[in-house]
Amino acid sequence: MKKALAFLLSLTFLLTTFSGCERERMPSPADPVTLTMWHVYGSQTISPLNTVIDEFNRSLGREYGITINVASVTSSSAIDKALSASASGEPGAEAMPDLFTAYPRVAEIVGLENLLPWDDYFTGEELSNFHADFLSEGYFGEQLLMLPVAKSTEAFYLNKTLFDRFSADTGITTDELSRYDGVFSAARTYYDWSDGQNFLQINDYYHYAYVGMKAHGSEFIRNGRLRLDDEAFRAVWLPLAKTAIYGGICLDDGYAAARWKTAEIIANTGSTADVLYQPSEVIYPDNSTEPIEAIALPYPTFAENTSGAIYRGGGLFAVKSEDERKNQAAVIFAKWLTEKEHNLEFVTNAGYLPVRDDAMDTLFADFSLVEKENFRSVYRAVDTMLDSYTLYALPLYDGASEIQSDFETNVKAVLKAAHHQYVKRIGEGENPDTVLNALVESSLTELKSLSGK
Amino acid sequence: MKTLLKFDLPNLLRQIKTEGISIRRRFVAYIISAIALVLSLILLLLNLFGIMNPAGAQIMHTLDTQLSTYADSIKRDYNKTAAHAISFADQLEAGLQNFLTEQNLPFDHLKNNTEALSALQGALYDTVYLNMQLAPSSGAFYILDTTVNSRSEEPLYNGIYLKYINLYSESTVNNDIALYRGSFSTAKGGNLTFHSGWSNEMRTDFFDSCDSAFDDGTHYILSPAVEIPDTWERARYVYVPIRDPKDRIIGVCGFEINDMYFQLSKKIIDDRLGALIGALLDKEHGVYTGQFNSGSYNAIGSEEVKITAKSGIAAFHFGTERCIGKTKDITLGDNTFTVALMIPEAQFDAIVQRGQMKTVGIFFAVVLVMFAYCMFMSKKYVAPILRKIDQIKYSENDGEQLKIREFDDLFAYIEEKASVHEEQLKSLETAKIAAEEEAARARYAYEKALEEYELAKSEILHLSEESKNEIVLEDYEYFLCNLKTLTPQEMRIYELYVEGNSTAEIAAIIGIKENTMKYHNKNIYAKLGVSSRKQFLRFAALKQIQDKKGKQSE
Repeated sequence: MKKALAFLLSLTFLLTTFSGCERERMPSPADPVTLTMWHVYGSQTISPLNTVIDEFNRSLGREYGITINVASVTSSSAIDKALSASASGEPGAEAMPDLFTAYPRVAEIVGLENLLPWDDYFTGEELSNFHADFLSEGYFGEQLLMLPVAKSTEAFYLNKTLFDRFSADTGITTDELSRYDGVFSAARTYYDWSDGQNFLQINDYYHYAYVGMKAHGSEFIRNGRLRLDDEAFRAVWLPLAKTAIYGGICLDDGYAAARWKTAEIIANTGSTADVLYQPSEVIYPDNSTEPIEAIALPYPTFAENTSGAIYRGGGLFAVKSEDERKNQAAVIFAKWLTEKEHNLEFVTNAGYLPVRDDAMDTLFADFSLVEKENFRSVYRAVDTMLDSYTLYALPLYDGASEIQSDFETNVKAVLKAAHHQYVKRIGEGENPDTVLNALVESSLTELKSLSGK
Repeated sequence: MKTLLKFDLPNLLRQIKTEGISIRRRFVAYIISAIALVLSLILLLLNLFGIMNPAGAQIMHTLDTQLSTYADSIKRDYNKTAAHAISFADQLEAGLQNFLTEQNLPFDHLKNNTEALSALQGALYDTVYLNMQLAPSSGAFYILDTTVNSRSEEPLYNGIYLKYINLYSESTVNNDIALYRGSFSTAKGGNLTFHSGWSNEMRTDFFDSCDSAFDDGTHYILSPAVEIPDTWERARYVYVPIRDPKDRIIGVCGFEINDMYFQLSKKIIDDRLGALIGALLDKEHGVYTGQFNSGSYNAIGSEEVKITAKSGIAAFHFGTERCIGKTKDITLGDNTFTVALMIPEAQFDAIVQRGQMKTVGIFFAVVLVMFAYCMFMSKKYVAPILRKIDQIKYSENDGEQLKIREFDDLFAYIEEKASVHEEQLKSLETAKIAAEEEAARARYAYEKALEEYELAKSEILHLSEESKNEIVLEDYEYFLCNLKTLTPQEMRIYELYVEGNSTAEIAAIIGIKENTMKYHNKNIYAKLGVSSRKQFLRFAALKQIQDKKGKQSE
């Protein structure tokens, strides 16, 4: 009996010793883990996150046998679409990546139950290092599913080289660009001065309306619905519509940075991360080029003493894996990426804000750690905003993504159609002011009508 | 351990030679030999058929197989892309000629003609767009040997270069397209977004030696992996010439395969090894660069990779990082490329080590099972036989059968024989006891007779001494002379008397009746001239004394 027992024990020992290694819970170089990742932190020109990921792969990743394999650098809307296709198993869709960066809205698409709860792997002390507001955005119920890795706010970008020419002729200075009424006025003047060129592109009309209505003491969104009938909306819509219909605002889709390159526009509002895309020169149709100086200014305000801006930026999601090594690998990478040093390296090359309080203090105490001047300009603008602005996080509600996207489309479509009407009618000899006022009014009605459908 | 230290093989062998080997040891040795033999045969067969190889060899075999498939897939895909490029060129040539004919312009007059070149791009845009949709690629382009500004500091070529943006899948059906190179009006006309690295035209040195590259009848060129200007990407280009009606090369067109597209379209996963690192490499001056199917290795692989080969196994040196794998050269277009498949060295080592551990584990498990089996068989098969032998040896047979027919028959036979021998032994024992009793009795009688004899002897001696002088000499001589006349029977009776036996005892010894004894006595007396028993015994005693003395004097 004893012999039989000893035999069984020996056999069990041998089997567990020689076949149990694969059930290791931590990744190791001997049993490497590759995590595919889709992220939004990069343009077609440069991807600071890829640079940081390469650094991780060559350092800590190598120690643990973890490789972060970036399988896509794309836009947030493209990631939404791709994740939706993957989650619903659409033909031709790729398998869900192990890691992705996205806005909170995507969590519902992927399924909360499929996402790794970071708070199961981060200690309370580790989480306490994060900026509280940034962290709170990542909670879905009790679970932290979206880990902040970089946040942005919005700024006003200006092609100072071309603006200076305009300024010299018109006397309009950058001081007038601190408020939207000044910006709109300058845009209309620029349209006339440049013989029909757009001055400005507003990248997010949804944000414009949200912050504008806040400035007027109201709410743009209530109970998951846009409040276009609100008087405050009318107050923020009319100056915008007037300028856009007049021709001062570019209403085409696409990135502002590309239009900077052809001098189609000389200013835009957009994410601080847009600085990554800013060209350093303008290219003219005959292939001649002109170097430009780009500066960033604080996001324009709507009224005195009511400065505000959206802060935004998604976060890092990990798809929960049955292979615990993959979960551990994702956590090791996430912790590394959000360490002060690596987080600063990443965000300051991408135009984002760091997500830890200590990193934020370091950045705004000394801009010299930011390499490029146009990036430093952005952080100076943000520094001003942090002192006097209220930063708002967009509310998350059912269908938010679609409602936001529809709103952008509708605003552009309505204003573009109205602008064409305006050009046509004044070309036909109608009174420009009368036509403009009429089209501004009708544009609001049209927008409400489209949004109500 | 002490036992092992005391193990003395020569002594054991000597012992085996002289004393033989126990059935138990012999049995265990045979079983172990048999299992070892079978095991060796199985290992040999598994090895012969390649089923069981060392882990390292297995990895290499897997990589060999996968590499072959991988290289074929790459070749097929690039040839397919090249076929699309040739068709693309045909369509562009036709479109260009149509445009020039419609505009009544010779090709050379396009130079510095911004309006005409923009119009030409407008005319050819759909061709570029449609071919890009059809070909497996991340971008499509054409460039012509003309420019909007020949006075530009940097020599440029005019054309359209479209790129997919937001790539996340090999399928590009739903991807947006950006204008990377092309005129402003092309972007507007195609409702395209500008690529963030957009420029109007392309540098003339973008494609090396494209003018002369096709002189020797090369169908298409697959370029080395190069950095795409103003982007973080690298790409290869599959391109073919665009010719004018006089067969003069006036440009090139083709498709871009950027690192991301290569990575997404060339994934290779092995059941056992997981995701394999695949690469299409260009060799220059002994070092390699190229495209990898892994993002991280694409980042590393943009730098130089050194490959050292030994015994058909390639070691890939990425700075401090090393991979182990296989390579195969293939020809694409007119150039030779190296296809490689590999895994990180640490992973390779770990698999090999795991394999070795498993082999050792299996070996120990088999040995353990073997010994356990021997012990089991010994207990179940040999031990009962030995116990039975002991029982038989010590006659303690409990009658239980071994259930092994031959042994049961043998033991039954031995038992039967043993019982016969036992019976014989018993009878011999009885006989022995009887003989011993008889011997005791005889000894007793002898001792008693000896005692009597000694007594009689002393009496005779005494008598002889007393009556020595009384014996008549003539009678005694007569007695001596006539002794030889006695018959054997009578002589025997005479001797028995001399020995001291009584008449009755002599009759019993000889086995004759008393009357017969009397008859013999009468004859003996008569022959010896004695008249009484007393005289007879006196003469006999005298003779005995004389005989003894005579012997002593001799």
